[in-house]
Amino acid sequence: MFLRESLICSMIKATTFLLLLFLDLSKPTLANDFQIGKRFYEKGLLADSTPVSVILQGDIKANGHLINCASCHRSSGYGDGEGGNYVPPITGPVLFNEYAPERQHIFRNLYQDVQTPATRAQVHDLKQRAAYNEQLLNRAITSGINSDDEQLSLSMPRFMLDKATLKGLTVYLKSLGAQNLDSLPKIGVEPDILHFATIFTPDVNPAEKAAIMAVFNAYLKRKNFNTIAAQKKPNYSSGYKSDFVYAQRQWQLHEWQLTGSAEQWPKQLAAFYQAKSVFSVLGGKGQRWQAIHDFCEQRSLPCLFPNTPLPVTAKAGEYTLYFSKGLQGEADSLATHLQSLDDVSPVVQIYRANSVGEVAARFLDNRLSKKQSSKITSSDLIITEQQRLGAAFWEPLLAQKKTLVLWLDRDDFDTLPSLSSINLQQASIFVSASLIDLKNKPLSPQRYNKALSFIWPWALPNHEPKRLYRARAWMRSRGVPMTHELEQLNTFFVLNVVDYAMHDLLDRFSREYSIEIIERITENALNPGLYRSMSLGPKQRFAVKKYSILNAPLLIPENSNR
Amino acid sequence: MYRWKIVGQRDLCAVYAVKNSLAKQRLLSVLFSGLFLILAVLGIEPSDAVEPNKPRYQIREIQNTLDEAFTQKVSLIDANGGAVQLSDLVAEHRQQPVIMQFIFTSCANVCPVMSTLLRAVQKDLVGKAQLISISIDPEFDDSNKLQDYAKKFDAQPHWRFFTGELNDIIRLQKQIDVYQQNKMRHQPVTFFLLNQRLFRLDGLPSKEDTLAELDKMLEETQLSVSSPG
Repeated sequence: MFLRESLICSMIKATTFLLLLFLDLSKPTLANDFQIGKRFYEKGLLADSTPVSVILQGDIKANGHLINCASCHRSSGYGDGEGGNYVPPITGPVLFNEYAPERQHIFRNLYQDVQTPATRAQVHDLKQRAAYNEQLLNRAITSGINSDDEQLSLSMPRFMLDKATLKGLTVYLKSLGAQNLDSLPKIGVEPDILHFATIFTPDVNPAEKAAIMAVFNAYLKRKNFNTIAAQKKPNYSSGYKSDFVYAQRQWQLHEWQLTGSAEQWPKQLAAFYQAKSVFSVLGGKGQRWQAIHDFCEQRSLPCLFPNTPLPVTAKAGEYTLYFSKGLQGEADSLATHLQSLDDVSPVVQIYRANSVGEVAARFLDNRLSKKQSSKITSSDLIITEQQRLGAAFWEPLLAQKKTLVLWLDRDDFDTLPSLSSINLQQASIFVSASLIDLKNKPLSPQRYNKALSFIWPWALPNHEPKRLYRARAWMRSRGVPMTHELEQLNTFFVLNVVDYAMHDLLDRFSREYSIEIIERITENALNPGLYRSMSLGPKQRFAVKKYSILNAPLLIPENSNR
Repeated sequence: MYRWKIVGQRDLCAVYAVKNSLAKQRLLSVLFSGLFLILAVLGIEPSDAVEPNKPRYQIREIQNTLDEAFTQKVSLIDANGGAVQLSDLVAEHRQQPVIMQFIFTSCANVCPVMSTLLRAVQKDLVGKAQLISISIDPEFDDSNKLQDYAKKFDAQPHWRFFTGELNDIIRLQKQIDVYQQNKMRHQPVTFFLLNQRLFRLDGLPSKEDTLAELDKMLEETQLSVSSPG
């Protein structure tokens, strides 16, 4: 009897639980609303997955694929000043609170890279409006009437929203910019300290690492000294800058040294991150970056400009920015060069087994085979890991009518015999200048033979941007020995870019916003002088796009005696 | 009380506001509130509203730059990878208006609005005008990216997209005074080339405004827009 009652009771409980579960699943959850809102914000898709209808400038019909919230207000919601067209922030705290003409509002926006006098005037405008709620937000988005019954600019598109999408968008907008004192440490922002990390893979030699760390240490020492000085006299500024001294923090850099094979790195990175969350990863060095790229993308962690020959190029990430496409870019530019020549003898790609050169060779293969009209044939000459190179290896190769592409490191390249002593009527040789570290270790003038060409990712010799001199002077004046100029100047660039970005960011500690600022300012005069030009744009992830193919004699230093 | 924008006094608060203590801020707040009220009586307008009579664009003819900008060699590459000289392109369409914009495909804010305008007017201009969009980020925007961009905006055959050498495109922008050192600062400008005359429209007009302005320019330049065929 007792058993039966207990069984019935359990069945009732189970049925009730299932019923409640069904009811709960059948109504949209907050998470669902968030996803609907996020998708609308970023892709212009309504709750039913169709693109929203949009009216622009009063009479131009468009859709959510062409214009959406993120295209103007950006993923962070903090707005933009592109083209002198000031787009205000629409983060949760801004929209859903009353907006009063307070100096903090005005001055915070002035930190944005606003450009034209008209834009600055717009920011200076004394504005006030009531807080938005879901109903007022709907009216603003669909009819262009703000929370104070005033008409918004016609540059703000009018979107035809449905109820479910509006609800989702409200939830999503509330989440934008919603950092608070409790959540900030989770992204590496503590009340007095801003945490960064730099990452080294096991292949980096101690001298390279020490050279990079010397730049970090010198920069942070100066930066932190200046921050303390500013905080000691908070009213120093006659303008508005001192209003935001509270936003400045001491920078602390954590060195994440990876060990073992690449398969072990995700676990190590997770442990580092758990021990101390950081706001972003700065520079660093490593031959292979896939595992670190994946880690940064999974954690929504900005990973800024590492020194690596193998950036992840297959699918651009959201959070990882690179100097260039590395060996992929070199292979692409060599393929373009070879395909532009009238007569190309068969290509032989020479690399060591399991080296980054092997990856570069595959890039070139893919690129050469992509063009159907290309008649260039390519084969591989793979050097085993134990094999030593010498004259016996090179001389038969150099005597053939071949296009030799050398994806080798400096030690292997240095085994190439002096070309002036060999009959080179037939062979032409292309070498990756980055793999043989030519920027840090120039060849002796006698070795710059005309049969030799370099795939050159940097500014043309003697045509470097002027900032190179300033950067070198900075190193000298801080007592940083320039032993690895390429990596050191790259590190100097990363620090400069982040410094400017944090300056614009003020107290808006959003990683997404920091990346948006970096996308905007990289093209400003921050090029450390190594590259012909650097630029990014929304969602662009490779700052250097142009490579040169330089015949070796062009690289002979001007002051050398041949 | 703050709901007023003071004509000609926009920076007043910014210049004279005193920082630091709450008491000072409150005092200033009261003082400025009083000042706002006085100025409100003198002549003010509602804030945050669109000024109804403020033009959304300006249009003017550019003198003496046409030959300089469009007759010298500027090599461009179209979305199919074909090379073309800008001067040839312009000469080819001498009998028709040419509407030209500078854009870049990764541009988030201004370019989509500019290109959406051309997308809207292209249907009204079939056989009547040529539309040209030139990338100011040619090292990123290769032919493939331009093709994708054209597809995204439903470009018809009379709307063509070009990239080229960075230096050439910078030179062209400088000649017609639209160059910005950072592409993210580029301005929304649309050029109209009619009967050897060049007009420049600064701003973001509506479709109706654009077509009306084109009609006016056609009248002024006495260029017929009937299809050459």
